[in-house]
Amino acid sequence: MKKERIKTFVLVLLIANSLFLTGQIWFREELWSQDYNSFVTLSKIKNVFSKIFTNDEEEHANIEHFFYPRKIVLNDGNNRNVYHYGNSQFIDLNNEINTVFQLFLQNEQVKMQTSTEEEWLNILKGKSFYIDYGVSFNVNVLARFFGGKASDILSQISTIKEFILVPGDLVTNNIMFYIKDSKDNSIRKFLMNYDKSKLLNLIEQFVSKEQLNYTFSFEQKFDKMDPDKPVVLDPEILIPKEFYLPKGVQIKSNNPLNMNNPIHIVESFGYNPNTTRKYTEADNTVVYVENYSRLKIHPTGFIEYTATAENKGLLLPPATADGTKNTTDSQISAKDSTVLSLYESLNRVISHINRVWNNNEYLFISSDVDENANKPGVYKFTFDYYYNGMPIIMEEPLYHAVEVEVENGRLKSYKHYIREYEEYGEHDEEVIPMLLALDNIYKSLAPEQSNIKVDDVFLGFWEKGGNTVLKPKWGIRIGERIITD
Amino acid sequence: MLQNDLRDFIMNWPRVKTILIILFLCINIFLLVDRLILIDRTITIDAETVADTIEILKKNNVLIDKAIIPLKMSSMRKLEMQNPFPVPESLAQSILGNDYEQAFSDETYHFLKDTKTLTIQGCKFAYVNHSPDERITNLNENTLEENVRDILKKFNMDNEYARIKNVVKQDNQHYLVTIGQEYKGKDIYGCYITMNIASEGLYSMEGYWLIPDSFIHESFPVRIITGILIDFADDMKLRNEKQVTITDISTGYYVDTDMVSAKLKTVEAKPVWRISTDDGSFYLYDTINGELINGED
Repeated sequence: MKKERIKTFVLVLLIANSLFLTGQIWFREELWSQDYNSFVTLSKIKNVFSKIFTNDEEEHANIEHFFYPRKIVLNDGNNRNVYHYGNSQFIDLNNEINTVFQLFLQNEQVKMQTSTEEEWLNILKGKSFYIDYGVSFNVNVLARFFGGKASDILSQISTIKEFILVPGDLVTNNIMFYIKDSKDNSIRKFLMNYDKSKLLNLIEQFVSKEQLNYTFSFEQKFDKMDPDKPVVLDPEILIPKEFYLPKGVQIKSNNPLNMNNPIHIVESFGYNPNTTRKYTEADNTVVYVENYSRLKIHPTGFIEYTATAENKGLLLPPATADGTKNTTDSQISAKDSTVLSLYESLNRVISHINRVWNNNEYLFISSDVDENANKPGVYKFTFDYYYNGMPIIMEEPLYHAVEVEVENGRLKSYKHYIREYEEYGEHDEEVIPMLLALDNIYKSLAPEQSNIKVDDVFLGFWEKGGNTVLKPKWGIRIGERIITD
Repeated sequence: MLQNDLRDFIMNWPRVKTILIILFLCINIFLLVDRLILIDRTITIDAETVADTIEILKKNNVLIDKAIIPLKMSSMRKLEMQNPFPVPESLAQSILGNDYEQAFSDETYHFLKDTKTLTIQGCKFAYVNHSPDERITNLNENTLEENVRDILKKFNMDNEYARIKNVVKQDNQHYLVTIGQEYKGKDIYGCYITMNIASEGLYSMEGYWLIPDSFIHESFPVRIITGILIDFADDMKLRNEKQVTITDISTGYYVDTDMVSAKLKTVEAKPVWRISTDDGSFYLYDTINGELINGED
């Protein structure tokens, strides 16, 4: 009897295995025509299953991800807390603010007044939401993302990097948006009828004195020129109220690239791995060469694509809702290569980044998203890694985690330093106080330098390559220059 | 009656199971072999297709003898070629020895030592010795290959797969020798060196020196030759060739050295069809996608 059971088990196993292997051969060889038949449907089902099992959706960074503010600063009048991507409540808070901003863009009853820098700073002292995107967005791009029309409300504003949302005064039921045009620093105030109690409730819910509290540098008068002070800070730089910071996290930087199987990366650039020329360089960099472009995959995780002829780079396909490619290359018609809008170009670039590498949770846009007045349709975008709001600084010669140049949807150049980061416990050393760090950095600058305007002071990580543990350090940004002690 | 049959079947179920196990075991073995070992598929062309192809070629002024059309074609694998000198300095060291002068300009490495110069651009090198003094005694057609191999050996250039492809004796008693590579009986195109040697020694040597290493695991079905021949006829029409006769069809490998870095370690050679014509030209077609790679005289 036991023997029969074993035989039954073996038979079932053999039948199942033969079905599995037959399926493998069908799908490997694609033994069906592209006309309507059940295999095409089966193939789609297989893709859906593979997505479910590889948990692809979770790791995909969709376009909303790239429009997250770098930080949201909430002030209840007494305490000021900072939220950024990585905080457990950040997404909820951001969604609430987005809802109000969306209503604002679609509202036709909004009243506009001009404002001043003094009023802007005064507003920041009281109950308010300060939203900082970290980069300037062209107003049309931002409006299109939020589903509104920029021409109606924001017609007099060119680019937005930051704005303040204020619950309003005691008399009216108006809420106010203070929006700074990052091109000329002019400020406009918009009044909108809205139930301000919702905003007050949000402030009450999200601000607490238990969390780390901050002041703005202008409140400490660090933004004022003084003959005794060779350095001034941007007024919106946040300074922790506590002199000593609590011990922060350290992170591990990993190179996840498997050089034995970079096929999906090669295919994402429209190359057929079977027919594209391939060679390996002395440092084990694998190079794929097509007639008008070249793709280099370095074992360090650095990917470099260059179109070697004008107007011959990869034509990026329109993005789908899930960020995947929705057409084959042959289906992309010539009309797709006409002048593409800034929003569409950015959207296609983001989709392409997701196709090259699907785990982009810590990747955010780090270049301004604005029209190119000299060459419409020609854009350069950069992206960088941020872990819990802290930038990960790339060292020379990379400068950015991703650098993309597109011309009317065609890829001219693409550089991507693929890294994955994970928390690696608390670091054992104290983070030195911000002002002390600032002092150290200033001392390290050339002695003849004076009247320095610091645009940002931040805690960040400095990428060293390899699989290393990174500890946070203070850094300052003066224009495009980033300095650390 | 049906009930009896069913009862018999149930009674014999253990035996049926054994038969089924054997049957599925065989099926599984077959599928596994197909899945894991990747059987080299062989395509056979029927006589009718060959006859039709010859007729189409004839109408396009391309003549071919039926006997030279291969009727069976097996899948082919790509070939990995090694660069024994993956950094330019290592080639300079091998050819010039120590104490050379080095410069880099216009994407080209320049090395100089006494009367010898070596330039490397991409993976192409050119060596010139303006006054060779390593005398070769008894240099003639019969000793040429031995001397060529000695020179290659002296420069640490592995010559296991090297074959002399062409020799031209010049009026000044210099020999121009073209050396190509051959792997498992098949020529490798696009990778060769030419030497200018005389009894005073080696005057010059230039080209690409890449060594066949091993086949890449995956094999690719070969584009059917009759289709390639029809493409060839179209290509001839585009070139305005009057009438050509195909003298030979063979397979080989082609390594594209264009746009390759000087710091090359390995490069893939793709399998190709070679179509030779009566005017001494030959044409290479990629066996994987059927594209014309180049035509050479």
